[in-house]
Amino acid sequence: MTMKKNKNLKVIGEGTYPGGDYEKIKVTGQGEISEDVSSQETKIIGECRIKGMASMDQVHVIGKLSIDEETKSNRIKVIGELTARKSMKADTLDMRGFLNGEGNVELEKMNLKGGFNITGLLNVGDLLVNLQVAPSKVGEIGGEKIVIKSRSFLKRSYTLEAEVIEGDNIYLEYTTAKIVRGNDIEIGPNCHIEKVEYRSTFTSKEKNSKNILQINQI
Amino acid sequence: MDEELISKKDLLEQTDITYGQLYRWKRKKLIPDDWFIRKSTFTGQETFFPRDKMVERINRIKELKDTLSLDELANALSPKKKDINISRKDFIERNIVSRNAIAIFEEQFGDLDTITFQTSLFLYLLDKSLETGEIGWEEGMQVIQTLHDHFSKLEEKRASLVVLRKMGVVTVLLVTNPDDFYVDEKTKVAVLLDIETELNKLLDSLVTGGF
Repeated sequence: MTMKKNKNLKVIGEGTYPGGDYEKIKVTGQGEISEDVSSQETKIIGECRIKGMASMDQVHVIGKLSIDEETKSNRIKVIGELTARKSMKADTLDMRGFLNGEGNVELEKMNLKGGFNITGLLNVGDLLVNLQVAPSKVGEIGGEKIVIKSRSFLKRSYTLEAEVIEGDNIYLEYTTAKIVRGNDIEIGPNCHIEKVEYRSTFTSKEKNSKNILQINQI
Repeated sequence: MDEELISKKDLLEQTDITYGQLYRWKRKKLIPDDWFIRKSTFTGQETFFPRDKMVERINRIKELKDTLSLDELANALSPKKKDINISRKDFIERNIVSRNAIAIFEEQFGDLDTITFQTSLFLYLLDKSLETGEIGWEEGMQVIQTLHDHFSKLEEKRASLVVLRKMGVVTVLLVTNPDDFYVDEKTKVAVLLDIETELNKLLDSLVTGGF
């Protein structure tokens, strides 16, 4: 660790800085942190890349943040783009924009307006996504409450592609999935699902019955 | 590891929990990540679990979840965080590890005052390695140094401690998820300990020792 605690890191303009233990990190412009970093409060306006692990309590991003190693956080708020090249774990994520995750993503609560591309498992307690911007893709989604929709007055709708979606309460729109499993499942418009397995209730607003190939109660 | 596996669907049915609960417990680290075993089946990728361990763990969680918060539960279930501090004197008197093991440890890291759970696990593994008769003082120091340097990286993964000997030269390995491994004929596997098994034995001897 090159810096002592209670130090702040402020980047205005452009620069590369060492990692370490910071109280506050503020990047206005373009910043790069070359090692592992931890902080209480992080504010990024512009662009920032962390070339190590990040353990940050509160994160605010307007612009772009990318983290090369594992990410741990409490609250993350993003307008723009967030990229986690390894696994990511946080309490809440509140986001408008695009989320990239190249590992697993674990969150208690996620509210996203935009899109996401996650290679591994998206494990979220309470998931609310409004698909916008670009098509989304995910390996697996698991959680308690999962709501995927795509609604906008002006723009067109975008789709989500997933292998497996598992949860207690699930509502889906514009989603293509191989398997959807859960207690209460509601399928909205424009879904393509190979197999639905539900325990308690199943409702479908899908007009084209060919879009859901198989429905089983277990 | 020839354990009997159970599919996620069967597990949920058998233990009467929901997908949400399973994922929540996974997030809270109540269920180690490497118990989630991915296998391809005719319906695509499916998740399986080691049956006995998983059923036991879920029953334990269900039992405790009304009295403890999930975070407290995580502490209760993850052995690394077990809060035990034993004085050196008690530790020796209860005969949990040999004096030799403690002596090696102390030569390496200085005198022990109180022994935390992790230290006691290191000592126990060292003691078990010494008991095999395959390694001596110097190698013991190598073992303890390896554990000290790298144990924290194992997290909750299943791991083994391996000591290889080739023409008198000793190599200490900490391997995660070892199924089987093979060595050339000049190399001898001097010590092979499954950390989880040893950990459970240590816990037993600690419990019977009255801690």
